[in-house]
Amino acid sequence: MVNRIRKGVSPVIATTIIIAITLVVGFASWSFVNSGASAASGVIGQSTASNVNYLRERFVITNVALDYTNNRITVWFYNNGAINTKIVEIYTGTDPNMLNLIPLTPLSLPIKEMRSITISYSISSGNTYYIKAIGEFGNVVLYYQKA
Amino acid sequence: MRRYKEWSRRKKGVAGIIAAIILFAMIFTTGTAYFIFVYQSYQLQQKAAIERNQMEIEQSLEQFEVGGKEISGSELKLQAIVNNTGPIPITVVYVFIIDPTTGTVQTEDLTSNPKTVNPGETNIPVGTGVTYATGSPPRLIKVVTERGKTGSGMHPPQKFPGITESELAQGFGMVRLIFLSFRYYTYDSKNPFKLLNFPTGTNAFNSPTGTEIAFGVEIKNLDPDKRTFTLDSHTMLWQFNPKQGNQYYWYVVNVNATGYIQTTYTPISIAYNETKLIIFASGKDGDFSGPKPPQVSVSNWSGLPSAVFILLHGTLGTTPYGQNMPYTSVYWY
Repeated sequence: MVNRIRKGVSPVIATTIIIAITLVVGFASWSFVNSGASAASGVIGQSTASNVNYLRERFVITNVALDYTNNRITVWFYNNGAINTKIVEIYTGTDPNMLNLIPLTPLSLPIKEMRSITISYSISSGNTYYIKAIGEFGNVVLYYQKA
Repeated sequence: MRRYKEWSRRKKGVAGIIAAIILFAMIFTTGTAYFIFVYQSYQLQQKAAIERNQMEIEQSLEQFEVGGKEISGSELKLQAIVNNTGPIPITVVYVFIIDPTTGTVQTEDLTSNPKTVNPGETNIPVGTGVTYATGSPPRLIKVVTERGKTGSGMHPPQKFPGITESELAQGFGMVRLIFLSFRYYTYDSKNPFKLLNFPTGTNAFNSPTGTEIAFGVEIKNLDPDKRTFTLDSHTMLWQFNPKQGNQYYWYVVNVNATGYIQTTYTPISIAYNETKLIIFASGKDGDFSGPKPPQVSVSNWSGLPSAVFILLHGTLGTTPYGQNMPYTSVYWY
């Protein structure tokens, strides 16, 4: 009678252990795959968002006024893209390969709107000035004009 | 017991298969979700790329001309006008009116009330205009379209804005004479090969008789094909006196920087867009032996005008070329 009872316990325990091992290994495998997929998805998501924003961001410099009396440059930007953006950096100078970064507060540029910014810069009549603007999502626009 | 054993035998492997199916389903679900996410991400990027491409194509299709129109009223105003010469409608959202002499910029923001100009429409006024005074310096009018294209024009319109000197040169020859550079030189009495006051010389539109002189004139090569013009020794300046009915001529010579005429002639090359002073002094083709060749004696021309012809000859690049420039006259005193 005792033996018969013991004989019945062993398969249950064995089955329980097998199920436990299966679950643990299964969840471990799933977790591994899932974490890898999540990490990859996160990278792809960020890259996609970045690319999409870059593609939807478009702006142009429509006009530049070089004021050599007051040493000021006024630049007009127009957002012809599909996303609101900001002008985060402006460079200027007479040599397109060595432009100077102008400190500025980012200029908001909503969709289909024109905005201007005035910066201080020493202007000499007769020189050609290059203006390079960089948008929030990485687009670069270059403009040049003779003073 | 026997029944259990039979049941146990029948069920062997089922749990493993079920577990494998469940595990596969879990991994498959995760993998599928990942691939769907990747696919959707690429679709988003592709859509954004297509939209941008479409915007750029539409922007490149915009073609328009810009001008200005003066509007009378309580005060005179200058208004931008647009001719849509392209295949798609354009919408003007901003106007700049710039005084190029002072750099003053006046603007009209039409973003809240943009003006659409359909294909083929001309002289469509845009905006309400800015204050303008008659006789003011020309204004540069610049308009910006909704797609971000900028077009500009002058008011009043500038004449022949697209024609270059090179294009005009096709009408009368590849070389242009700089009329006001026409000059003469006298010789150093102690050295018959030296020109005095070289290279400045003296204005030759009134030239003296009774003394031997050489002529100089600047010419500019405006060949539209940008070839170098090389003058050979046959190049000459000749003058005809209609009253006396006779003529004199001077062949081209080489003169060094200090004004000395070289005895033998070396072809002179004039690169495209280059202006060079050419000296005519010799009575003989190809060499110079002194300032008094027999034909250069113009004392009988005193008080008379003569027509001047400059005959250029040589090669344009490798092509033989000649040109006669008959536009100058001289009064001899």
